[in-house]
Formats: sequence, structure tokens, C-alpha cells
Amino acid sequence: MKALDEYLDAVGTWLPAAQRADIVAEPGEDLRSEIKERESSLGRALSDDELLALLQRRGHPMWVAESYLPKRQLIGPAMLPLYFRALKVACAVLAAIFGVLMLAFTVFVKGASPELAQPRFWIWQLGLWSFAYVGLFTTIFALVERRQLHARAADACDPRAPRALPSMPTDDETRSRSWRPIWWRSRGGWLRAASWRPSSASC
Amino acid sequence: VNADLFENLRLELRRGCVVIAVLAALGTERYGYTLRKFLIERGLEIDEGTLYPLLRRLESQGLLASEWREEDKRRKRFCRRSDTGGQVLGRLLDEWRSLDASLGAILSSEGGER
Repeated sequence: MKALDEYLDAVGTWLPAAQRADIVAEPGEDLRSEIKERESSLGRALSDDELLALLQRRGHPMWVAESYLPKRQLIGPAMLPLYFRALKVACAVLAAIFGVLMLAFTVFVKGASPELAQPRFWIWQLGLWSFAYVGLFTTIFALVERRQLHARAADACDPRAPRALPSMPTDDETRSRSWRPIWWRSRGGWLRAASWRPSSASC
Repeated sequence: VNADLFENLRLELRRGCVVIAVLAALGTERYGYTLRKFLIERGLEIDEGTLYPLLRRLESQGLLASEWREEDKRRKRFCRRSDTGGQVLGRLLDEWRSLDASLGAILSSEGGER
């Protein structure tokens, strides 16, 4: 039964320490019951190969452990489109800024340091800044998601409470905003949507 | 029909039925392996990776009660449906029958399922 113990140990390594023994006992007992039943129907002990085949049928220890764990995600499906939009806008703005800087230093500015005149310097900088922005946006959205999850876990909200939902703009407000670029207009909506949570007064 | 698509829809359809089957089967006290065998023998294939997490979830929702006991020199977790589980099962069965009747009516008015 060394293979069985090793298999169960491997399942345990993917589980939180506090629940490990309790959870591992379940597939362990199920496997022992199945082994015992097979052995009594065969009238002999299972061979190593038969035992390994049985363990293989149960699947990789990581997937076995995963089935016991709560499903968690850094950014949920509701926030994901917003996250991608924010990333696209940030990357486009960064690409525009670094594109202009690259053009300026490689074509127009004379006497700058030779390093700044190399396009690959600006491409490298763009890569670094994009990487940093992806990290920053991911962290912000993950925190908002976490906050939203806590809010959802609270008591049900009363949607009739005026503070619970973002207010609708009046016709005048809509007209006065119509000249603003789309990304600017939607920014307020993004922030409201991202930061909305049921107010403690209404829930 | 795409096999993955059909498999996903089939699993979705089965999910609620498995809960009903488990709650119904646990009117009698059973441990995991015997429960799985009981369901399989009656045509409901269920793997360990689905059954045991489901039992934990139902217990955390107060629909089952369980305890670890020794039997045949091995510790086993015996489960049984709670009173709340019994009430929920009754309501789920009503819902299932109502859905079945509605589906029957829809399918017959459409002249069969194809």
C-alpha cells in the first residue's frame, strides 16, 4: 500500500494544512474500500500494476485536491470585460506616449544621449511600463473584486434605496457631456461600477 | 454535435438531479463508498471527485449530518439526511415534477423532441 499512501500524500500537498487530514481521509477511505472489494472478488491481493491502474483512474492528485477546494478567481466574470477595456486603454496610451518619445529622440532631438536615440531603448521601456501597468491594474481589480465579494456576502440589499445604485444623468447632463471623448465619458461609469457596493444604511 | 458542448450541457442537466439523488439515498445512513455504489447500481454514474465535495457542501448547508466511525477496523464517514434535508428534498421533488410536467407539455405541443 506504499503507492496508495504516496498518492494520498500527494493529494494532501495541494490542500490547505488546516483541512488536509480531514479531506484526505475521504478519498483514502473510498480507495481502501474499492481495493478491499476488488481483492475479495479476485480472492487475492491486488498486484502493484493493478493498484497503480486504480490510482491512475482516480486522476492526478492535484485535480483530486482541486475538486475539494472552493472555486476562486482573482477577477470575476462581471469585472473581466472592464479589466480588459482598462488594460487596452492603458496600453494604447502608453504606446502613444512612448511612440512620440521614440520619434522625438530618434529623429528630431539632436545631441541627446546615444542610448535615447536607439528605438530598442524605447521599445524596452514600453515593455517595462506595460508590464508594470498590467500588474497595477490586476492588483486594483483583484482588490475591487475582493471588496465586491465581501459586499455580496453581506445581507441582501434594497435596490430601492437611492444610495445603492449610481444615479442616472439628467437630459441636460447628458447633453453637456456629449462633447467628451468616449473613454472620458465612460470613465465615471467605470469608477462607479467598480466601486459600487451596497451601502450599510440600505442593507 | 460537438462532443464537448454536449458533455457540458449533459453535466449541467445532471447537476441538480445528483443533489436530489444523494439527498434521497441518504434517507438511510451510508458512507461515501456505499453511497456511490448504491447510486451507480441504480444507473447514476458519479465519480468520487463529484460526490465527496458535494457531501461536504450539503453538510455545510445543514442538509446532511455526518460522523466518523470505525467499521471493519477502518474509520469511515457516515452520512445521513437531516430534517432540513428532508424538507428541502420534498420541495426539490415537487419542483422536479413540475418541471417534468412543463417539459412534457412543451415537447408534446411541439410535436415531439425532434
